[in-house]
Amino acid sequence: MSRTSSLRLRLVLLTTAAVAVVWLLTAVFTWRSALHEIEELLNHPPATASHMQKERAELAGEIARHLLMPTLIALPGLALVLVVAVGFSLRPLRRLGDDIAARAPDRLTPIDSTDTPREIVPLIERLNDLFAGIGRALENERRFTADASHELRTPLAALKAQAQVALAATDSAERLHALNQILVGCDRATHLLTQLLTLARLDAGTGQAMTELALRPLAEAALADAAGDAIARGCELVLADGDARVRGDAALLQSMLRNLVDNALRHGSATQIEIGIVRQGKEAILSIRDDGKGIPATEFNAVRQRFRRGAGADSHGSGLGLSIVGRIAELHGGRMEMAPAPAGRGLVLHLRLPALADDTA
Amino acid sequence: MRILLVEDDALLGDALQAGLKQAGHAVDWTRDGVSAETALATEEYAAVVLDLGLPRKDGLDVLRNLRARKRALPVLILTARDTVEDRIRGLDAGADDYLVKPFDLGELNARLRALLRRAGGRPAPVLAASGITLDPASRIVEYRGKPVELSSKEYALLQALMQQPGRALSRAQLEQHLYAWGDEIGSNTVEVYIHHLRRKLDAEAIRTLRGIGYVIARDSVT
Repeated sequence: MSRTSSLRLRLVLLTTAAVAVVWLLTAVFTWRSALHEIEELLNHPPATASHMQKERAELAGEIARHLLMPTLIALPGLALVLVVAVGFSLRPLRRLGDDIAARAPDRLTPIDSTDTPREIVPLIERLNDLFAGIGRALENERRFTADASHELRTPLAALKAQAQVALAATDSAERLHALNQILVGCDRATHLLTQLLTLARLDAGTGQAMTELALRPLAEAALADAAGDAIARGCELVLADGDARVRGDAALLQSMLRNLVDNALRHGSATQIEIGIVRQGKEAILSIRDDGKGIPATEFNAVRQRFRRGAGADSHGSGLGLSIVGRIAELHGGRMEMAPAPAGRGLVLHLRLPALADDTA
Repeated sequence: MRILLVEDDALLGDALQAGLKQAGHAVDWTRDGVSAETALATEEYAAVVLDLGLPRKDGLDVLRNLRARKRALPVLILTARDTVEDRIRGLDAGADDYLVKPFDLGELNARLRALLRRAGGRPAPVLAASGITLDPASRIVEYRGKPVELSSKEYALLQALMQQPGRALSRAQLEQHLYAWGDEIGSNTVEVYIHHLRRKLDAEAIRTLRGIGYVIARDSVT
């Protein structure tokens, strides 16, 4: 016999058996009393036709009564048997309920589905999928918190050490330098915290307000925001012709663009950053190209990971920029790709997002 | 003492370089594992302050390679990871000591002094020879019981000579102690500092061994 039984089969078998027993008992009882009555009738045949008539009616009535009586007596018994049978059949469901009720919130081990009725196996499988999903989310959260606390240690160490250098400084130039560095450190820690919060919100994946929008105005805004920084670094910002419409969250896409431009400005030592938006088939491709020092192809995967900065990065970044960009692309059903710039110097990042039908053309 | 600082974080590295300089060390600062190995292969250092999370080559690998070459150089690691396993891994890879970020600059300097003391085979924290006492913790120098005011380069030079009394150090070796990369080295600065020291202490305190270098005589053990 297979180990997985069927809830339906158990119920049907048990009820059929109970009805069959009652029915058999009735049949036996009726058979016996009918036999007795018929014998009585044969032994003492009625003398007259009117007697015969009476005896026959009595006999029929007797048989009907005997047919009815055991059934009436047995019905409550049958109900009792059915209650027990149904209860017995549904025991696996109750056991499952108890098992889940008794779980601590963090015990997410799968439920054992061997030895359970076939009908509730899909339920258990769904539950196990859910447990696994929650387990992964919890694990992500745990790792994120651990990473975040470690990442905050370095800026804190820098702040503390700079403050102590300032306190111990003997000449004012040294003290001034250390104090200025403390301010830079505070800005950096603030930036790191902002990025951490952004990423935590993105991980939760809630609160997106998806609307249909054009990418070009967002790119214009992001470049305008970065203009001051770009001038200070002697870098030219270019927005090439072209546009595409996507379904997305304007605030998130803006944040993605700002991170991209920031990233190119900070880490590339580029002299030109160009954003291009094209529609290719069903995809809207947003590309950002710089002519900076680029990233070796061997590090493409590494720099996408959280808290990983490229070698030689000026380390003022949080190490989260590209993770944020990648995550936002993911939330929009798209993806991020990296490639060396065609000019042989610098880096191109492509964001491929599902495009909407172009109704502006 | 000349210290190699390996730290990829610009702000923390800047602070540590300044802090170690304030403590009288010459500091070379490298920002990744590969440059750290190059520096270790080409220069002589009294100790290394090594961050573990480094680009290009992990700090633990730098440390393992250093120990694989049988170098006994004192190494103090800086780490953001504070679990017991992380500390054990660091110490087992060959670190002499570790500090978890964020740390106190004073503690970093004290631990470095302890490492340098142990590396020099001296149990006593205060260096003493030829009537000179030098306390690396307070940086107070006394000659025959009287305090002597020294500039930081004079102090560093005296400390190098007091580290192993009786052993002569050449001009080149002394320069190694005094100057980090990028420091301007005058052609006869060591001679100038020796001259200052002799004036502040005693003409006989530091002896010149012609063609070899300079030495502070060891106190005779009775």
